[in-house]
This record gives sequence, C-alpha cells and structure tokens, in this order.
Amino acid sequence: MLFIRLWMFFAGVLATLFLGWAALIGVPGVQLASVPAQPGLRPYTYEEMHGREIYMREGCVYCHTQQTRPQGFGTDQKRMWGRPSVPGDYVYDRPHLLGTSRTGPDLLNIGARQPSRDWHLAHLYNPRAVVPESIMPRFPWLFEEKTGTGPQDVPLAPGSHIVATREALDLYAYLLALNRTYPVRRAEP
Amino acid sequence: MKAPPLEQSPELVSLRRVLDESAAVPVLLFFATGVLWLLAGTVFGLLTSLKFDMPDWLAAIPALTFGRLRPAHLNAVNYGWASLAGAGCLLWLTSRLCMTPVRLRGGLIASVILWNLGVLYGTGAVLLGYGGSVEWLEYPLPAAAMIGAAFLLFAASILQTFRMRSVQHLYVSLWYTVACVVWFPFLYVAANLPIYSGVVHGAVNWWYGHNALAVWFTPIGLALAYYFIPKVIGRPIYSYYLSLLGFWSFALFYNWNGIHHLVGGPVPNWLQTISIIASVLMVIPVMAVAVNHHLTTVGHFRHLRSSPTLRFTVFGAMCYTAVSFQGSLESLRGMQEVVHFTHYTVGHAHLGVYAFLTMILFGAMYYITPRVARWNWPHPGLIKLHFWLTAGGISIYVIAMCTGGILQGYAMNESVRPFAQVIDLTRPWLIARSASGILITGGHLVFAYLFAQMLIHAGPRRETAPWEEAAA
Amino acid sequence: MILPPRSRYHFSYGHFDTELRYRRMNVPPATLLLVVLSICGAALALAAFVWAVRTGQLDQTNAGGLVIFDDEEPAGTPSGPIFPKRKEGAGL
Ligand code: HEC
Repeated sequence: MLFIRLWMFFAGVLATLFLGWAALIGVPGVQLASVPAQPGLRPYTYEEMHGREIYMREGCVYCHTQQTRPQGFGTDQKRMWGRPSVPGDYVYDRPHLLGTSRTGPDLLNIGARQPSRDWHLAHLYNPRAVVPESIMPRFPWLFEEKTGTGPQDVPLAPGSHIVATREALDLYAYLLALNRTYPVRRAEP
Repeated sequence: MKAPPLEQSPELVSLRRVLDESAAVPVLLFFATGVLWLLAGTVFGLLTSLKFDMPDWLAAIPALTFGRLRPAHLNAVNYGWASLAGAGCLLWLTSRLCMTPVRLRGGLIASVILWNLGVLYGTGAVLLGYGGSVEWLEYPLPAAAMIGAAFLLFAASILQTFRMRSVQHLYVSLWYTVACVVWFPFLYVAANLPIYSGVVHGAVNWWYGHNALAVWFTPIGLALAYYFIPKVIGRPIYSYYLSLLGFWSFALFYNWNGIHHLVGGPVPNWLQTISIIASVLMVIPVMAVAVNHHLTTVGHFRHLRSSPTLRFTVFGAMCYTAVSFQGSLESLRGMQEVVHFTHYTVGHAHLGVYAFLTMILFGAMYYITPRVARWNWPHPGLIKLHFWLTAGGISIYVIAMCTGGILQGYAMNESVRPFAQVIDLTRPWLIARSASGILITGGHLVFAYLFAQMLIHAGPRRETAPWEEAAA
Repeated sequence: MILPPRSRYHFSYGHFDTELRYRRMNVPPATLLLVVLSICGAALALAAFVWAVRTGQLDQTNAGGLVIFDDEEPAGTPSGPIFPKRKEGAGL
C-alpha cells in the first residue's frame, strides 16, 4: 500500500509546513529585515512605551486597527485615517498591534487627528459622554477620585475631583505618538 | 460492499474492550477538563457579546472589560475546550485505528495536568491584564511553554501508540492525526519565539493564527468525520482515492493561507497574493472532503434521526464545506475590501471553530464516552435538546454576524457616513448574536449536565451495554 | 459626526504614487526566489506522483475504506449510541 515507506510520509508532512513557513515568514523576514525606519518616525519614549502597555493590557487592539489601506481599497483616507501605511512605519512596534477589527476607527494617526488631551481623557473615562452612540468600554480605573487636587493633577474638567492617573496620561502620550502623517520617503517592498 | 474486511480475527471482540479500557482514564480526563473550559469559555464569550449591547454593564471591573474578556474567550475555548477534547478524541481514535492500547499513559496524565495549568495560568493572566495583545498568542510565555510541553507529551503518546500498531493499513484518519501532532509543535514553537517585531510580527501572527486551524483543529475535525460518518452509517467512505488527494492538497495549500488576514495591510503585495491564491486552491481539498463526506451520507439520512453522533458529525461536516468556500471567497481582494475588519470575520471564525469543529467534537464524544465510561447516555431527550440549542444558536450567530458584517463593511466604505452611524447599523445584529449566545450557553449547560451524569454513572441505565449496541 | 474634523491633518497622495510606480518596476529578488522554489516544489510533487502511479502505490486504494469494519462491527451495520425507539415513532 501507499506508505510502505513511512519516512516518506513524515518527510512529506514536514516539508509541506516548512515550505509554507519559508515562503510566508522566512522570505519576507529576510526581505523586511533591512527595511529602515521611515525618516519621520522616531522611537517611542518611556512614557509612550508605558502607555502602549496599557493599550495592550486593556485590549484596545481588539476594536482598533493600526493599519491604513491604500487608495481604492476601502476609504480609509477619505475618512481622514491617513495615507497607506508601509513597513517602515512599524519598525519600533514590538509586539505589532496591527489589529483585525474596526469596531472603532483606525488609530494609526489618532495623534494627528485628535491631539486634545481633555478630549482623550474624557473619552477614556466615559466614551458615551463624548460620543453618545459609542460602544467603547469605559476605563474608570485609569482615573482616581481626589478630595483636593494639586497643581500637578490633571482633572477631567476644571474643578472636577476625578483626576487622571499616570496610566491614563501615559496612554494619552502613546495615542498622541500615533502619528504617521510624515510623507513616505523611501521606497519599500 | 462485498470486499472482505482486512482484519479478521476472533480476538477482536475482546480486544476492543481492552483498547477502551486502556484509553479510559486519559480520555475521560481530557474530556472532563475540556468540558469545564467549554463552560468557562462560553461564559467569557457571552459576556463579551453582551458588552457590545450594554457597554456600561459591569464596566468598573477591570478583569471584565471587553478587551480582556475577548482574548480570554478565544484562548479558553481554543486551547482549553477544543484542544483538550480534540486530544482526547484523537487518543481514542488512534488506539482504535492502530488496534493497540494507548501507550505512555503516565505521560498523558502529566500532559492533562500541565495543559490545564497552562490554560488556567494563561487565561488568568489575560484577565488580570498580562495578555500579549497578539491574537491567538496572548498567553505569557511560561503558559505557552506549559501548553507546548503538554502537547509534546500528548504527541509522544500518539506516536508511540502509532509505532506499536498491529494493523497493516493506515486509515485516512490516522494520516491527519499523525500529521497534526508532528505539525503543531513546529508551528507553536516557531510562532512563540520572542524574536519578531513590526510587520514581520504581523505576518507571523496570522501565519500562526490561521495555521492553528490548518494544522491542528481542522485535522482533528476531519480525522473524526472520516471515521464516524462511515462507521456510524456502516458503509465505507465514498471514495478512498479522493481522500488521498484531499490529504496532500490540504497539507500543501492550507498552511499558505494565513497572510490573507492582512490583505490591504502594510505587508508586501506578493505575500498577500500568494495567500489569496493558496486560499482559493483550498477548493481542491475541500471538494475532495465534501464529496467523500456528503456522498457517504446521501441515502442514509434516516440515521440522522437515530444517532446523536451522526447528527452532530454531519452537521459539522456540512459546515466544513460551507466555511471553506466562504473562506476562499472571503480572501479575494474585492470581498476583503468590504468585510475585512468587520464582524463578518467573527462570523466566519465561529462557523469554523464552532459549527464545524465543536459540533464534530460533540458527536465524537457521544460515541466515545459510553465506551470508555462504560455507561450509557441517559436522557435521550436532553441530547436532542443539546443539538437543537447549539445548532440553532450557531446558525443564528453566523447569519447575524455575516449579514451585520457586510452591512458594516459597506457603511464603513462610504466615507460620508459618520462612524457613529456604522455603530448604530450593527446594533441589531449584535443583539441577535447575544441571543444566539444564550441559546448556545443553554446547550452547553445541558451537555455538561449529561456528561457529569456519565461520569458519576447516574441516570437511568439502558438495557444494552455500549459495546453491544452495534446491531441496533 | 463623532469628531469635528481637526484640520491639522493634511495629506497628499502625490508623493506616494511616485513611490508606487517605482516599486512596480522593481521585482523583489524574494519573488524570483519564490518562483524558482515553487517550480522545484511542483517538479518534486509531479515526480512523486509519477512514481506512485508507476509502482502501483495507488492501486486498490478504495479497499482502504473498509479497514474500519471487521467481524464485530461489520460493514452494513450502523454502530454507536442510538436514541431508543419511541412508541409514537421516532421524532426529532
Ligand atoms: C468594544 C470595542 C472597543 C474597545 C475595546 C476600545 N474601543 Fe476605542 N472606540 C470604539 C468605538 C466603537 C469608537 C467610536 C466611537 C467613539 O469615538 O467612542 C472608538 C473610538 C476611539 C477613539 C476615537 C477615535 C476617533 O477617530 O474618533 C479613540 C482615541 C479610542 N477609541 C481609543 C481607545 C483606546 C485607547 C482603547 C483601549 C484602552 C480603546 N479605544 C478600546 C470601540 C472600542
């Protein structure tokens, strides 16, 4: 019968998966390993990295993408979500947060589209206070209630007792850093 | 069919009992813990869905925020329920098809324990905020390492049982089984290496995410369907020759599909195109499998009424055909432009992992459990209830999510529509999804109740012993 | 509207389109490597298939479907748990 030579079966089985790995990971890995960062891109600061961790911790990636599609493929640009992203825009992203779901808008350029700190803090505290239709979760644990606010505290609104924690401020710093509006300077694969 | 059976020996009758006994403890452990994860995962899933409808409900508890519940659901049902139950089924099946007792049973017990600890640790970590935000690979590395080690122990047992086989011919289900225990460790290790960043990480992510289906979950489902459909009907599969073609084209094409999750994204165009081509080529293995499964069943539909196993398995096999064609279509650029990033993808995923795989696992467990637990299923009425709740629930689920997803996709591509309108548009479909989730949860509670009754040998005992039921 | 459009954000396509044209002319070596690889793979698969047919590996394959049946659970008889027959006729 067919598998008189059993090793052939195993060799074939392993070869199929290895071929797929070589083609889908190995080759692009080599091809993209040499892609330099776009000149307009800078590494994340400490605060932004911390904010990025909050972004990962709260699972923002399950509702928001960070990839914009080319013209003629969807209407990302007409929605002001930004020019098509290229590999050089992601060199400092580890892990990647490309995302697969747009329950909420793309955030690759949210820092350029919406730089207001007050807006972001109010939105994170209760999205429905800002956008009534929103189904985004609230993140009240990124804020704390204080009886008296000091000068370095960032209250939600003037006079409010609800102030942003370090986590909320760093998350805002990260959102502000999400800004790939610089022009693409280098040809990329 | 007139051809003489290939294995003819009087000892077989008692041999089957020996085999079942050898498999009993590990298989029941895999099943029982799998059912527990099914319940946990279902609760996470239902909560996730309700969060869309009532975003302010339980909104102050960090562990129950949407962004943590969703990965907890995905991981608990995949690494917990589907993997554990699937592993149990494969153990029993391998012993049956090799006609030899399950080997390395001590290792299997260790495997179950390690596996469950890994899933518990990983899911807990995700809920507490230590998830990695890389879909399908959220677990912290130690949890992934535990699951990987547990899988190696399981694979060792399968391969050792396979090596000690007392049969000449390797049935098609065995090819899928042996192949997947060789494939999955390679895949899991390669994807978990902490060396990737940027868009390459994205490619690795989806190479893995899709391949978890291609080299682990789908082979389980196909191995079981290839065995149980002919076995329950009592008639060999329609064309064994085709199953061969199906296996090798499956092995060649399926694991190239993953990058279709990034169509339109920042990965090189040639890479996306390759994955789209491979996705379309999947039509070949799918046709081979579909012809075999469906033409074996044709003309024997009356068995669907009498056999719970067949009912679940045939439902699953039909959904395999459906989900595969849907997947090939969905990968095309024109379709991706609309449905990428929408709830359509979620509907598709559930058609695959639930309507196909989980339904076949239910069917297989209805067949295997009486043999290894030496007790018959009580309450046939509840089994039917289980079927109708889950089959009805998942049908509503898939229809709601796919319709809602297409509408969402078209609305999102109409740039003049404010985003808030897109949200409003999907709302009724998300409510329908939650309703279907309640049905499915009900079905799972019924199943868990039945399964517990089997374990403690409760409920009315039926006259015949399970192994004497053949001539019904 | 979810947001008042904040027009700090400007973007022009012109630059990117030039890049696109440039990219199209440039066949990445990875693609060439892949084409060569896949041709080799296809040749191997073809050779394996020819070998299988020549040496009779595929003869009698259909008998393989019968190995799951034997004396105890013969072909032609359904197996597995069944719903007990109800007097009023089996319902769903
Ligand atoms: C359940 C899905 C969901 C999750 C999880 C989620 N969001 Fe949102 N997000 C939305 C939706 C829907 C909108 C659009 C409505 C709105 O503006 O609130 C949105 C809008 C936004 C916006 C405004 C974008 C714009 O263009 O107006 C920002 C910024 C944002 N989310 C940030 C976050 C951050 C940061 C997190 C994680 C801490 C997060 N989101 C988690 C669903 C989600």
